[in-house]
Amino acid sequence: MNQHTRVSLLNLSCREATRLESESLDRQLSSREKWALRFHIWFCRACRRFRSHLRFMQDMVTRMPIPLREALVASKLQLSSSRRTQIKYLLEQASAQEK
Amino acid sequence: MSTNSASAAEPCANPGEWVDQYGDVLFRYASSRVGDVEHAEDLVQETFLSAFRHRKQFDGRARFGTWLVAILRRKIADYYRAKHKSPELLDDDTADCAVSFSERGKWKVAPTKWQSAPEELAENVEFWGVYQGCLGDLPAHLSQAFHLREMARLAVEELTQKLAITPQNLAVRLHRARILLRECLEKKWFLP
Repeated sequence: MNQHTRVSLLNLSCREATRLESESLDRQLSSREKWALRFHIWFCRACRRFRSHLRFMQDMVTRMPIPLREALVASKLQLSSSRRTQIKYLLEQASAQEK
Repeated sequence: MSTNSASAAEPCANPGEWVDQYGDVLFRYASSRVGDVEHAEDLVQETFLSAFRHRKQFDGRARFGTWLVAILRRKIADYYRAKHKSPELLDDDTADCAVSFSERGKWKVAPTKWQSAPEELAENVEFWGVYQGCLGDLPAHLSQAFHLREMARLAVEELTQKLAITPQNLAVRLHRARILLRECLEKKWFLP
C-alpha cells in the first residue's frame, strides 16, 4: 500500500489519526504521517487508548483458538458447501430440462 | 481451488464442475463488493445459471473464468442499480466513519480503559463467544477484509489481488472494521 496521504502536521483530527494508526499496521507510514500522528497522540488520550486497543486486538487474534480461526477464514474465502450443492442441483435441473 | 490455464480455456462439459472450479473465485469477488454473504452467494448462483443458459455465446477468446467474472460484474451492477446505490459509496472513509466520529472528526464516544490481561482473556471461552458475535455483526465486506488480513495474515498485495480492490479501498475497509470491532468489544465485554 504505497499511497501516502497528505496530512496536516499539527491539525490531525481523531478520525484521521485512527486511520493512520490502522494503516500503520498494513504499510510503512511516511515520516510526515508519523510525525503528525505522534503529535496528535501526545495530546489526545482517546487516540492513545485507540492505539493500545488496536494492539490488544492484534495480540488477541494471535491467541485465538486455532479451530475458530480456521473456520472463520474459510468462511470468507469459500462458497459455503450448502450453496455449492444448491447451485449444482439447479444446474442439473437446467440441463435436464433442455434434454 | 485450481484454475489452471490448460482446462480454463474450455468450459467443462459438466456444469457441476464449473462450481468446483470457479465457485470460490466468484464468491470472493462478489463478497468483496456486496455487503453481505447471502447476497454475494445469490449473485454467484445467478451467474452460473446465466452462464449455463448462454454457454453457446462463450467463444473461447477469453478464458472461461474471465467470461464468468464478466457476467458476475453485470449482475453486481444490476444489484446496485436496483438498490439505487453505487458500489463506490461503500468505501468512502468519511461517510463510513460518521457513526463513530463527528463531522469535524472528533470521537463521539471516546474509548475507555480496558483492564484485562490478554493471556487470561485468551483462556476465557465467553470472551471468544463475544468476539465471534462482534465479528458476525460487521458488514460482510469489512469482516472479509479483516479476517484475511489479521487472521489469514495475507500480505496487502495478495489481498488486494484476491479481492480485486484498490489498496485505498482496502485501507478504508480495514480502518472501518477495526473501529467497529473495537466499539463492539468495548460495549459488550469491557464496559459491563
